[in-house]
Amino acid sequence: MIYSLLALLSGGTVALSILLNARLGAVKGLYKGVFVNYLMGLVVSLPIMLIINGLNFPQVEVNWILMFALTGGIIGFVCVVLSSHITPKIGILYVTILLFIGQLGTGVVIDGIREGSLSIGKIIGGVLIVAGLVYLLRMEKVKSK
Amino acid sequence: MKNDFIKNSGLSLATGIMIAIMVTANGMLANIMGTWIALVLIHMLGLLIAGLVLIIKKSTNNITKGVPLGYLMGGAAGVITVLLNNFCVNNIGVAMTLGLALVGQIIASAIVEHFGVLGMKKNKISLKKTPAYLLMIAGSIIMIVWS
Repeated sequence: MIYSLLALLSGGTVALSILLNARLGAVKGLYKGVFVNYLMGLVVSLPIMLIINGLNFPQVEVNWILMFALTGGIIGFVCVVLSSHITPKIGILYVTILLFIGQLGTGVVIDGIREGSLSIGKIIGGVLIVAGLVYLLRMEKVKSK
Repeated sequence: MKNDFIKNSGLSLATGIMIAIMVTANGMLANIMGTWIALVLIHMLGLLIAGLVLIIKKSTNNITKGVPLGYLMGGAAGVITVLLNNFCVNNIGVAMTLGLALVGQIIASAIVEHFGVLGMKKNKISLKKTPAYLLMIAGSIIMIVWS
């Protein structure tokens, strides 16, 4: 339950960062905006890490799992650049819906692989959330016409 | 024109797929390196790539000049997002983390627009949108209860 609340909360921080990063991008351009964004991320996260961990780094085995785990930061950059190129072309409504279908579909599959079976609850819940999203965005579109 | 639409739709879908893979990878990194070191590494790698692109594009001048302080908070909010995602994905899985995050994002955007804060145009929450929110809330509850 606590993790469900944290996940909801993370959506709030996503909304906030999308809003502010769009403004940042408008002032500095996409790539400089993204750079400043990551720089700020490091400025915030590095002191926290040093306070909590000090300079104790875990001994880890360098293998393919670690290599894959390290791709997250790079994929994040690619996603930000891609979505800001696509959005002006087909509109934020379609992008939001398609992004989410891609995320949730892949999420269900990854969870299925990890847990050994597909979760019906996640699929039905996900379809309902997508349906709500489509309904909401269609209303916004009608209104803006 | 139509081909362009299909191409960009495909790219949107692909970006969504990559986001799910990214969240999985970041969660694994937090498992391997610990929460806080992973948080730093993720932002360091992103910064490295963004910096390389700026160098290749020869656009390294005045990077931080004229940026209003408030806009920097986007980066800080991003750190919280990554941190929360890493906590959640290792406990409730990728689908639920991203599903509930989307609902949270929609609710937060609706609140921001309803009050017109942070310089957003006012867009009041209307009763007509209720079915949409109900569907999303029902989807969230089914996800939480039935898995």
